[in-house]
Amino acid sequence: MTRRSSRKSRLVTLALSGTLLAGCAKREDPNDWADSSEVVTNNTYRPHLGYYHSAYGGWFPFPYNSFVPGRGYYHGGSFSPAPAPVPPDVSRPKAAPDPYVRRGGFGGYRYGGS
Amino acid sequence: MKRLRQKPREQWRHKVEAVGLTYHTPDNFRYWDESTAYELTSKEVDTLEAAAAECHALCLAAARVIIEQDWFDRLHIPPAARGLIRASWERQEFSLYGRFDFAWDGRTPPKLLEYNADTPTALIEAAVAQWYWLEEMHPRLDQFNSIHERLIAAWKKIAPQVSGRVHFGGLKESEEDEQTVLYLQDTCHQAGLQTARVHIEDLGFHSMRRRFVDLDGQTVSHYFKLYPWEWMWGDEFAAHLDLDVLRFIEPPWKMLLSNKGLLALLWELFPGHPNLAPAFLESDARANALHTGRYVRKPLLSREGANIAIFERTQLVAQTRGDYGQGPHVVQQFLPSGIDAAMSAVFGVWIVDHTPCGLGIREDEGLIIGNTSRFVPHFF
Repeated sequence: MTRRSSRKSRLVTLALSGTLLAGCAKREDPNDWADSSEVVTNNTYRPHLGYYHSAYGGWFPFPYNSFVPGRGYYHGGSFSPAPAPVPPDVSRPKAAPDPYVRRGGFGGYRYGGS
Repeated sequence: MKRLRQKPREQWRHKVEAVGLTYHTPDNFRYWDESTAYELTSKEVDTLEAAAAECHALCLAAARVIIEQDWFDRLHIPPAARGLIRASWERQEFSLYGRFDFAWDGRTPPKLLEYNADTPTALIEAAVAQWYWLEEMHPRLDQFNSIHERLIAAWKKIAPQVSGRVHFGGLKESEEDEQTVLYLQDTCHQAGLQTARVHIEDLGFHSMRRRFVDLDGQTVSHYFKLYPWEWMWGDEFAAHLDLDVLRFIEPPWKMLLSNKGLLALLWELFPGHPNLAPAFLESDARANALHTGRYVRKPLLSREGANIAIFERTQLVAQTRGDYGQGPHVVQQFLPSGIDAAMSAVFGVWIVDHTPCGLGIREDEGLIIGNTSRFVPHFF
């Protein structure tokens, strides 16, 4: 009698495990971002935008490299085990949005998976 | 099949969080529960695997009939969606995954409760967390779980059709959805494809290029969405879906199979099948035949056990709340499930690329398995 092969995965690895622990990385609508001509320093806080990460040119809900126990160091929308490199002191928020692009046309409903 | 008490691992919370299951205890309710496990025999796993393969074949056959016989009205599929469903079916567009939920007592054939064909979750639990649990607790034993490597293989299969990146997204602010999407993105990345994230609310439509774009303005050509098709058709951007410029995963034809009205059509097409239970659209006079015993009333479109009601003749026995109570319903003969009279259990068999490849077991002291019912690992 032949022994049937295993039914389980041989190896389960997570290549993006840093981002798997990120949880809800919220990024504001770029339509709300600051004027693209403005230069902003790292970790500048603006109501409704969050903290500016100069390395990414964007706004995020937590300060750059802030540490959350069990998750790690936050930067650019996700957590990672090690802190990110020292960012540039200042940078410009990404360019103004394309006037031909509309967003928000999906997602009018709230739900959970099944 | 046995239901066994197990000693939870030291620091189990940290261990499941480390593999992405961060939502193990929502609202202080223990969702991931490794104090219990199910032990199955190899033959029992064969039974579940065969039932899922059979039901998958039945569902594909039913989808063909629905399209050929123009039965869309019976499932209340909006007219605007039908052309895209037909086109995606005829092109045999890629389907990544789904989950059949079975009622089962370990002795008689498993019976189909529903097919979560469009937006199934409880994936990290089944594919990753219980695999690591097994490796630590019972490393010499087996588990019905090759979901992870099947997902990677499925992405490799679609890779030749993808010229750019595969974008992934669901709704913002749902931790379970975020983690599920990230996990699937991870498997796609491991398959060698380029990936990117864009929440479904952030998808843009470029009116000059007539294409969907991400937050960087890049065209989105393939988009994994953890967001139900029936809701997409109710959204403002539904008007652009007919342009057929974006391949969605899951494809539009899965909308036929995630609809619980399918249970009635399956029973009509395959009456008496051992893996099916009598089921009828509530508007069908034949549904009255179920009113003489215990039966379940389900909305055609609902999720996570919401708005389910169980009746004994005309007497309400149990029900769950939710936001899906409006609209048409299907009724199905009640199916007791599990091996312990005091504990209901549902057996969720995962399908990846049309092949059964894993099992996730949920259990609850109540009669209805819902959003807060516990996930328990298994081995054989």
